[in-house]
Amino acid sequence: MRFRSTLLPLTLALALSVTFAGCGTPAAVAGRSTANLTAPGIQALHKKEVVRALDTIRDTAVDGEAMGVIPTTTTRLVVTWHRSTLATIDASAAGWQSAVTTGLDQLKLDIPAADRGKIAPYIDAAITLFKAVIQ
Amino acid sequence: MSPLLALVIQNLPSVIQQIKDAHAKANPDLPPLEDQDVRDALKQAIMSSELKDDQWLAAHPEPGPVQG
Repeated sequence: MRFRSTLLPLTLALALSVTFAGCGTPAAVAGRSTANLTAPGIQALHKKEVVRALDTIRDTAVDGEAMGVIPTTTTRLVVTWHRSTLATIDASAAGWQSAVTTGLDQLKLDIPAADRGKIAPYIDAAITLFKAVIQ
Repeated sequence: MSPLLALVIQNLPSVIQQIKDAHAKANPDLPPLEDQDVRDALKQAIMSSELKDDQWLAAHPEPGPVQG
């Protein structure tokens, strides 16, 4: 069990750094100039980066559940939140930023206290990235 | 929190700057992005992510009521 609890943050920290460094960016977008983008294109780019950050939170819970570190009920809460947040981002032309911010804050409150310490750092990291992207 | 995770979070602002720099310093051999390219990439990212959610939820259904 000690191995599992040590391995989880290590694995996820590496995944987080790779994700935020942009190495997982689709080949069709990576390395190309954004100079031609208009406002809707820039918004789509922002949304795509936010989706990637939210994926990290979901993946943290899913990987933790598979390792037996995070309970299935907590992971279901995170995956369900993630699924509905994606739908909001996909459907909204305006106002999606405040919906995502509110959802992230609410998720932190909804996660049981015993699991909060394992997932909250990734939520905080996503909030940091989110604020930087939408500025 | 593990020291490594703390280090990653501490370095997030510089990582975010690296992402912005990478966008600004694009490969001149590649054509610039157009709005439709980014919309397509966003659609693809959302669809593949939703699929992963759906697969996980299908594999982990909510337990039914306990039969007394």
